[in-house]
Amino acid sequence: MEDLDIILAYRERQHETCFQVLYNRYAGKVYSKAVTMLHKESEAEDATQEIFTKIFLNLGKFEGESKFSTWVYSITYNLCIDKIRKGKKNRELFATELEDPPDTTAEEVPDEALMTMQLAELKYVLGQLTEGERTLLLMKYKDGVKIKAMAELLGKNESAVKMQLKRIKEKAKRIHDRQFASIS
Amino acid sequence: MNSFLALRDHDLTAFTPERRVRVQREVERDLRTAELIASIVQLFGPVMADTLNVMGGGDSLLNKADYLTIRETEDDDPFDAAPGGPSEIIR
Repeated sequence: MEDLDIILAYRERQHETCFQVLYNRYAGKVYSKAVTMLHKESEAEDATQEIFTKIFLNLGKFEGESKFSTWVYSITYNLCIDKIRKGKKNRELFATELEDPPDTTAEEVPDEALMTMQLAELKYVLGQLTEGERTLLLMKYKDGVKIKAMAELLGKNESAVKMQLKRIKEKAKRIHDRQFASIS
Repeated sequence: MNSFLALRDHDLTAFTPERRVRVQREVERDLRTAELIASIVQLFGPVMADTLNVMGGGDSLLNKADYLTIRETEDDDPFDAAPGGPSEIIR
């Protein structure tokens, strides 16, 4: 059964089964995203609860223009960003850092370079990135969000997002090579 | 395996069945509370708004409707005769 059918049924009857199906489909994904962004399991659990309450209270506003999964993702992302911002009031989370500009002459780091890292290596690399860089990289490669959707979520244009991703990939590769290239 | 997908699987395992049930229970509780508050507002909202209006010196809006009272609806005698008492039972 499609998400939209379940949503329409839930709107009509508020039936528990509809709630259960939607919750089972998305709870794991929402929690996974929250724990990646917030880093603490307890905070991610609270965030998951808030996100689902928000989703079900606002289900009437979902018009089906985008996919339900995209809508859920944007609520998850925005709520987590709000929580992070509250914790770091004075820091611009996604400021365009100029101290580490991309090497425009160099070839782009292929996606495989990141995807073939060992899990422990990837975790190390992610740990060395800033909050904004990590979020962007995971959004693209872990959550599979399209550049257009990322641009909408971040309030930037697509080319700016692509450029930022290119720079982050370069940085991630540099961190990886510095730490692990000599070992292997 | 793609390392990012491995990371996703790893994060998913952290969402244990106990945690899943706990979160679900809390969400259901929140939704019930929201529903209760909405019902109360729906039920008493107009009366409370009218009370505040009257307290502020305005006229009550709720009393303007021309409802029949019980006394008026029960009086079905077209000639306005006094109703018979219990001692005047006609056999």
